Amino acid sequence: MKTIFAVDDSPTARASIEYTLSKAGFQVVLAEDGVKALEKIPSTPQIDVFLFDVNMPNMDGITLIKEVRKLGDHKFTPILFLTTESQESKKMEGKAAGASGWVVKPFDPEQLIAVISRFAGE
Amino acid sequence: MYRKFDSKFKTQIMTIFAGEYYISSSGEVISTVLGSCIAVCLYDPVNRIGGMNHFMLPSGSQESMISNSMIEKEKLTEQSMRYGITAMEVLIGEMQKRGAERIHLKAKIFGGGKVINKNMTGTTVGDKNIGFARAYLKMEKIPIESENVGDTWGRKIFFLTENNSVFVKKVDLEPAVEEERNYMQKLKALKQKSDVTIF
Repeated sequence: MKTIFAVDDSPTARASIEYTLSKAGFQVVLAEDGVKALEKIPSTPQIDVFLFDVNMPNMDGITLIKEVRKLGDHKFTPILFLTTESQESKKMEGKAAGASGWVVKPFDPEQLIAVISRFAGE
Repeated sequence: MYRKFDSKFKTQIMTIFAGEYYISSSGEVISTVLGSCIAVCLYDPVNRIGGMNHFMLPSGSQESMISNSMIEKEKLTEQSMRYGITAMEVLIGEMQKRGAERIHLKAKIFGGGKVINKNMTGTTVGDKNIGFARAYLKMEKIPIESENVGDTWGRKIFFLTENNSVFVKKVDLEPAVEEERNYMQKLKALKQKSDVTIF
């Protein structure tokens, strides 16, 4: 079973991501911001795809991605953004920081599953 | 949206329409006219940032999406719910970018007027919008400090972000709902697919 590590500060968004992905057969690990995510990543044995929100308290998604890329284990793990942000400049910022893709909310569940499956090698 | 000087408030007022939002950190007054739609006035009194949106759930179905004042998880990803959730996430996210902190956020909700149709039974569009706003804010642990919702009239509201008070003026429901109808048509016509970019 592939594991998706999702970070979003909204409890509703986390519930929605967990419901969508676990129904599709993924194991889902959740964190509520960048700081909590960095604490939790080392103790998560397997992560196949990361899914980050952009606007979050404590540490935003763009900063988080830079931190995750510094971790030896996750230098090449696919990282997708799932966010309400849709400006090209923001997307380019994400790409430069090392993101693999960008999905704008509201998300279509089937499409999100398809994108994640592709990166998870399903 | 447009900005206009108001002689009663003796200041510029930013008026928003259905589907829009506005955020102020300089004590501006934000106004909108509501029929069945909902406006959530969100504010962070510590960092002195206030914002308001004006939205509705696009689905015309009458089925219940909310039980025990929570959004049922099976309904979270339904198209109608997704647009309501996104309207709220955009407002919260943009306020955070301007320096608001989630932990300090408080809400006041308005609108959800009921258009009484002889053939209609059960939940109205306005009821669904009210139910959604209450359930979403509960899930997000954002306290609702006050609300003026439901009933069979429309509302013109003025959100004074200077002190987070809201003035409500009763207006006729039908013209307000008529304006919102165009917004609902636009929402229904929106593409259902996500905007996906692979780098």
